[in-house]
Amino acid sequence: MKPQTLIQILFFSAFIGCTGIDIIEDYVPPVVRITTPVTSLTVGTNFQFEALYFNVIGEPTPGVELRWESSDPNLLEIDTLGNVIPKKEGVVTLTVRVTSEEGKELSDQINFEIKNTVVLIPKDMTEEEEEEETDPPEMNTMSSTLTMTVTPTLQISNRIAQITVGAEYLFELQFTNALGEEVQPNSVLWESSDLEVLSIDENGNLTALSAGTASVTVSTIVSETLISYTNIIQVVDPVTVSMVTSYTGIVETTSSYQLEGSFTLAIEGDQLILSLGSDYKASTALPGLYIYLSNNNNTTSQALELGPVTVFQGAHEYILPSQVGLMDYQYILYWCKPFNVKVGHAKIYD
Amino acid sequence: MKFKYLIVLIFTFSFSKAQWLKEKGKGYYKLGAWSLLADEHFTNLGGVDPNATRGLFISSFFAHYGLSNKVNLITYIPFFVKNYQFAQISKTTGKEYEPRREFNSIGDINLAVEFKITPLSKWAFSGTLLLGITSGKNVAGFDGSYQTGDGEFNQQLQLNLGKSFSLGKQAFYLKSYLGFNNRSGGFSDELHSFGETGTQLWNSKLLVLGRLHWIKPLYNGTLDASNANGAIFANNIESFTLGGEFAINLGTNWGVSFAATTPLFGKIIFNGNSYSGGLFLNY
Repeated sequence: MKPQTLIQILFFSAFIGCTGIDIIEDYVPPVVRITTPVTSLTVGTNFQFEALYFNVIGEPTPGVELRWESSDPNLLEIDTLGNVIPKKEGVVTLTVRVTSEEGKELSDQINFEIKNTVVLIPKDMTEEEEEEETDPPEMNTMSSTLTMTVTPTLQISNRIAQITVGAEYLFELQFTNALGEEVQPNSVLWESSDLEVLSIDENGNLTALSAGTASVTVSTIVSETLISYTNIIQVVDPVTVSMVTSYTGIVETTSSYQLEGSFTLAIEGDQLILSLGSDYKASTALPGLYIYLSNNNNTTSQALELGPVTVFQGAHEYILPSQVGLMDYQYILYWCKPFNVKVGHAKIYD
Repeated sequence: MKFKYLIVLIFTFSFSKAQWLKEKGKGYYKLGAWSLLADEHFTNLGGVDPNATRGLFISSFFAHYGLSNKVNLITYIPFFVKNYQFAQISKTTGKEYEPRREFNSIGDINLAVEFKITPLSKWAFSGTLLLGITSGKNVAGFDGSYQTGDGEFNQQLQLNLGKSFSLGKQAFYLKSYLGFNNRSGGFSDELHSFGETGTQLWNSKLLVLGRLHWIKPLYNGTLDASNANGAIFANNIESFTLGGEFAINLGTNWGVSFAATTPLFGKIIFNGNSYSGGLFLNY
């Protein structure tokens, strides 16, 4: 072989594209996930539950038919769009089902409490606590007929301890006359101790106006004697929907590089903030370390890139884009972006 | 992120083939190609982690010329460097996550002068001052990581020691050096130690040799991810490699060589075999 031939081979090889591909093992089991982590709803509150279907590579897939189901339609009704109407107080399980691309039936569930707008005082407690001393019956010997009399009483039979601002409630009266008979009193007067907190009409219809504590007093005159009954009530601001607002966990290395620490993903005001704890440490030896949120912990291809890591020890935080929800991503990923090296991860929630 | 390491290795291989100091007017020249492909690397703790398959292909020219009987000039010119990464394809969907990427340019040129030092007994003794010219790109490609140079002007001073010996009727040579590489730009300085032995067969038509090369950082650099401002770097690299080479004389003063090397241990370097071939002229 001549030297010129070898030179030609060398030059030719220099310009040959060195081709090849890397196959990324990116399969993850498809899941459907309820992304509205409700812990309680108040009766009468309209709310729409949301769920997302994540396919075999962890990619959210819109347009998939979601089938909603309530464990007790008497407590909670739900339509095909996830709109619910809480009807009664109780605990209910909500299920969403979907058929995956592979034909598998997938589901996710959430348990939560349905709360009433008022908190009743149990009647037995009323009897125990509100039992008042009554005078012993008196014998009337002046009349030709022997009769026994008792002190008339006036009570609210459905007392409440708490009511939510904006809610209305109708009191019921229980009046016992001097003969011990339960009858309707001739006339009663309803009064609120603080009209800014509670208002009440002449029929005992209560309206909660603002947060605070006030009392409702009902009174009547019997034989020129005023008798009354008072119910002290706490008025609270409405919490129609209670939801999980934060998740905490541990960041751990999945490589030979140092990565450790705790994290909190939390809704603070209008912002969703990812906070790394003071115990956080990351290797400074690796160039191009980036942090991501993802639903697939094998690749960053479907991930939300939060940016390059610039803090390698100690507490710090990332303010997430406004369109990101608390449950939109299941994993935090640390990745050497230039060389596609997974460094570590954290699971935000199960 | 391992570019400096690669350049040093290539230079070493070329240089070692040059044997002793050249006499005045004599020279050794080599046109070579070198290739490495790796889908894993040694981490800073010495573990082995996977990475996207990266490749480096270098076409180079090496020259060792006897300026006098006591002073030689040496140069290594990587005139074509291809740094590339395989396309990233989803196994599940077949979707292409990342296309194949590459960057081509000239690499960092090395210039060196070797000078004779009075022989110690039967040992040949010389010194070499090597300068690393920043002719390559230390920020290259779409994300800056397809480097063809490290962007720092380094100066390596080394002491070379060589000796011929025989085992039975077979003649061998042994050469080695100890070097100190003064690196700039926040990189840690390095100690280099190198040993090579070889023998000629088939009436001196075939040279077979083996070599060990250890690069040890002194961890005195300041460059790390916390102060690199996003730059792609490889500081505190360490490598201990084993290599072998065949050089065949095809003519009176020319021939071809083939070499391979493998890392036995390392930190922040690719864990992959490299292969090279070249056409040399020796007169």
